[in-house]
Amino acid sequence: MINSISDYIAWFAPYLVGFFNAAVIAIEISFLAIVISWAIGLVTTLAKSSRSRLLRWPAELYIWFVRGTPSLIQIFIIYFGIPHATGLRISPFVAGVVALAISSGAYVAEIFRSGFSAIPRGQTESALALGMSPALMMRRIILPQVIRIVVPAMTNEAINTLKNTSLLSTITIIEVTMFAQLALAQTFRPFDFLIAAALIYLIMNTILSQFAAWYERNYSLEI
Amino acid sequence: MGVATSNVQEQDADLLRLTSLRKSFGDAIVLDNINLSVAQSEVLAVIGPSGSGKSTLLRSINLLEVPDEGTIHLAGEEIQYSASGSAWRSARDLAKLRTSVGMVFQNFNLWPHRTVLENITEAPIRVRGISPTIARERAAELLNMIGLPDKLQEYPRRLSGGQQQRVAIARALAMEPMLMLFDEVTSALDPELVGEVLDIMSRLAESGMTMIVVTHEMGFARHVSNRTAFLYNGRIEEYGASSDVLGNPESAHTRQFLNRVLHHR
Repeated sequence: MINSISDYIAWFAPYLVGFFNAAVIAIEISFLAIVISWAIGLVTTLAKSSRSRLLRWPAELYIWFVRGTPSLIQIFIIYFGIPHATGLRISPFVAGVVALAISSGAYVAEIFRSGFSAIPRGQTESALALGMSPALMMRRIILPQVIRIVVPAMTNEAINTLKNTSLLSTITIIEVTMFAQLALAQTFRPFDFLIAAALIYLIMNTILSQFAAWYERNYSLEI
Repeated sequence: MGVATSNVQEQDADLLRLTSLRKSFGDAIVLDNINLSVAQSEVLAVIGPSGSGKSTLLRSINLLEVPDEGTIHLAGEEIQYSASGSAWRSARDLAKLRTSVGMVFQNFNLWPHRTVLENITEAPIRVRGISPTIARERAAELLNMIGLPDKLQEYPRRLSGGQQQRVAIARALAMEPMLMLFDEVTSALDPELVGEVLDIMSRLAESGMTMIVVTHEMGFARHVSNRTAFLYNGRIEEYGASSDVLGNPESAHTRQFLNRVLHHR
């Protein structure tokens, strides 16, 4: 049936559209999850370094729980568990975004923590000595430096989140892994579709890490 | 607390007055009953062995450190600390008080992600609300004064230690403080870079700036400062005109310290 390269391309072409749509879903979900995980991570770090136990304990509990449980279980809890217990209806897309954000936020928090601890005390003191409020100091002096420090580790974490979208195939989202499974079930050609899926993940992650490398080159502290 | 309604008729020339200041870290007493005043345009040198409380003293004046007891009078404001519940001040209130005091640190503490110009204009623009145009003009003047007019767009890491410290001085001066604090500002510098920083400090003193200088540079203390305080174990062991304290010390501890410092050179 498939005898030449042109035959192969003609056979595979219809699936490309499906893969493309699946990749768009994966990118949408991971983009939202990554941005939300930064917010969760930053808030968690600040809470964890707070003097108040009321802020510290929830942050520690969250990190402890997320690091100690598999992402898949976290996804299931949010998509199957919570609606069942509360009657709340959550769409697969929203559940996917929330689950990946929560799952990544704990690691982002730890990355931020190491970033903050790398800033010398003198940076804080000189800002305070010039009459800056703690909020202004954080926004203008400390955070910009922390962000530059954490870019490499954050890139790794973003790649993880992007790859973890494949877990969302279990909650009916037609992302890249799910689409590959559907296609190979139809055609009984697992090799072709799994390699294709792998290539799509590779392309997405390569673009992501190239962007991070570009950012690092242009915004890193001069040393 | 609040604004002290000090007696105007008393002709209070002191810009800063510390009364019975005490501070301990756990069991260690770092400042023990410090009484000290600094008049307008006076230059006070603070000397003493390491661990004698010099830095803590400076940091208390700038409110980076919270004393356990005592009173700080600074330009008409009074801040009281007592063992039973220290005077609590909001972060905003502290920040406002700090704008009248400039501080220069041993390790410069310039912000590495900001250019020299931005280091100098950041606080005037963001804290005092000065227009960026005026802040930049003023920064250019200050860079002229410290002899680095061409380093405006440079990042701190491209500068030598001496240059960085001069920028740090300019950054503090840009806030137009009433009092400048210098915390061992030449200790981290290579010996050949010490002079350029001390020169600027001498010129600042000549221009009438009120200064408190924690230093190991005895030559500077003797020639530039009006008064010298010798700190020993958290106490002011000896205090007086710099020529007396450094030239003809009364206390055995002061003599010992000076001998050690001078023979070391």
